[in-house]
Amino acid sequence: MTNEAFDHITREKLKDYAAAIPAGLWEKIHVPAINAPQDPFDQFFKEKLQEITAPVSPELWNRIRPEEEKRRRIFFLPRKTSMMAASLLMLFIAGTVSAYIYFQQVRRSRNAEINATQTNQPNNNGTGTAGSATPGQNNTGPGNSSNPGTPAGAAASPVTTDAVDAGSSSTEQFSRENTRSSSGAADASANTVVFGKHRIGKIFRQQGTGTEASSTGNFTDSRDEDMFYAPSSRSNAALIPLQRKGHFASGERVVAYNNHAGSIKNIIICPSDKNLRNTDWDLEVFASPDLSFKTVSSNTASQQFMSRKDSSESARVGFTAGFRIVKPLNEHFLIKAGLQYAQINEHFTYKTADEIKTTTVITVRNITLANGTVVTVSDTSVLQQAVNKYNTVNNRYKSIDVPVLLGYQFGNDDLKIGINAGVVVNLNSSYKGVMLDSTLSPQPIDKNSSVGYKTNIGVGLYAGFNISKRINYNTSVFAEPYLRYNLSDITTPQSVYKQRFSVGGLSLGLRFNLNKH
Amino acid sequence: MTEHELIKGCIRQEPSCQRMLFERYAGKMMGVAMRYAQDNMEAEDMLQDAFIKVFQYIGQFKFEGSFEGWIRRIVVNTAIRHLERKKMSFKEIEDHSPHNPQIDPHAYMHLGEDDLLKLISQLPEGYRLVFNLSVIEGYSHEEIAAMLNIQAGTSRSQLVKARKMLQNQIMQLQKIAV
Repeated sequence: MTNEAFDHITREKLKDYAAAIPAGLWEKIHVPAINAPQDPFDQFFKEKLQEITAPVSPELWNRIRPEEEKRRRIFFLPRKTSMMAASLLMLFIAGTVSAYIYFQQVRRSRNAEINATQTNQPNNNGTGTAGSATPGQNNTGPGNSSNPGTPAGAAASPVTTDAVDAGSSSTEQFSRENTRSSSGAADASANTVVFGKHRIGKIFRQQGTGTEASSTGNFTDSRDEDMFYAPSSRSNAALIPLQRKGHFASGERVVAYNNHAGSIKNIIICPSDKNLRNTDWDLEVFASPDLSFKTVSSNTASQQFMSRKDSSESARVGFTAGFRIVKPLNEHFLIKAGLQYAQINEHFTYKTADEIKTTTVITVRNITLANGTVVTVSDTSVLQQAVNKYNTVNNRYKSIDVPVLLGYQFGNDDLKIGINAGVVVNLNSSYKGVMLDSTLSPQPIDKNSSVGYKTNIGVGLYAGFNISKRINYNTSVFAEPYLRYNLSDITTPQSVYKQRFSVGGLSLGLRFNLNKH
Repeated sequence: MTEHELIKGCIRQEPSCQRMLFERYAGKMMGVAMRYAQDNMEAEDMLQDAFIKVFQYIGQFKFEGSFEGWIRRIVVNTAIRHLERKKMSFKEIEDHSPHNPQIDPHAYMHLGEDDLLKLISQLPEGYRLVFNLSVIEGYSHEEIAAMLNIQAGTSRSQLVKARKMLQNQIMQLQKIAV
């Protein structure tokens, strides 16, 4: 065959040849008319999904709400200045309350002294039956004050005169004098004394068989020992002994005898056991669940970085644990110092892209053949997709601190309420976890990070409200909600952003008296 | 409060109006974001960025056209930028399944919104994006090409393949159901 013949045959064969069009090619290239009816499949998806609504996480608004509102919600999300102001306010309130109570106490004892002095002077105006007390009888003792006109024999009947006793030694002396003045000790009774509005103490009244005159005379003798008296507010006694100069130091040594009033035959001292318990030193051991409040601001970081950082991090419950040595300065004021470990926890969530997700679908079918045999057929298909994986890391901000606090407390031996305020001095801070770098990629927190974290965050302010309940002789349990405001950022000045933590918590612990007998 | 007053309040940066606007549109926009995202967390990220932009640029709204449409465009654009950052590709995925499966409308008519969202979320990102922009949002392939910086043909091709993959997935579900 010649070349011309081969070319001719080939040309004839292929001239009108039409190859099969690849399936779907038209769909890929054609441009449908604007008013062309939409594919029913597409139409179905559009109708179903175009107006769909989905639930939104309640947290989302907190992440996107504008700064203006954040500023207005200063109380709920305290910022630097408000936290500082709150701490200073708490310190101020604590100081003011402490000072008020202290000066009230000083003034009260001073007033009592003045009143007693006035009572001791002639022509003072007593209350109740004070008119029966002549100037020469100002120092009328309880035996006399109950009823000056009572005959000697009638004195044996129960008498409920109120009086004041401010100390065991004075009571003993008073008792001795009273006994001496009476012809024979018969009975003793005690009642609470009310001085003004303040419950001060008790007086024991010896009911003797001696005459009124002798009794009066003997108590008059006691004036030489500087017995002071004050008007009783509710008894028919003209005057009651308030304080014995030289023997009664202050109201601290007031003795309570309520529980013994009916049974005591003689003057028995039953002092508060706080005098027996040595309160020189206490040890507090405590632990607290904490919630942290973070203030973050940008140095050189972009808004996108700050937004991403904000959405990546979420606070979790941290804790504080430690001990404090407590030194009472007096009955109300005390100083505390110790050592504590605090840990702020935070969840950091970040995505890693292009993780391979494998989905295996196994389809099992039963096919019944013509002969009735049932054959089980299973098809396995595997779908692999590149997906984002969400990782969560627990970021930890740890610190070791020395708290130095001044406290004020009041109450009784069983239940005390107080306020503590002071400073927390940081010894060391360390951090562990993951943070964003400038390309919004996660990287471990370390010294090479674009954000530097301080190893010492300096001083923080502390304020707490303390309530303690005694559970046995030398142990109390206490609860102390508190707020700690750090004065410094945890980030270095070179960092792309500034970050500072404040912590609120509830300390729960035990207080041991270290000087138990 | 009317929509106009609400927008004016947001322009004045009144927090109560901003909150009200968020509550009025967040659910619907979350629905939009979920179609572009692979999961809820990603959708929330998109929505967060979108609303920040809404509050930032609401002063530029000219009160021409639908305000919801304006927000919707911001959400869609934010989703696209979000996916771009993930270095989204528009690769053709090889598949050897029969072309144009003849799918009976009864096979998908019973599917609910959640089922459809799940199916869409399982699409490769390029497919998902083009399918959403074209079928749901109604953009033309030329507009999609301009938005995504691709060829219009690529957009068409991605749409066809996305549709085919969805139909295959629906048929697979049917098989499992049988």
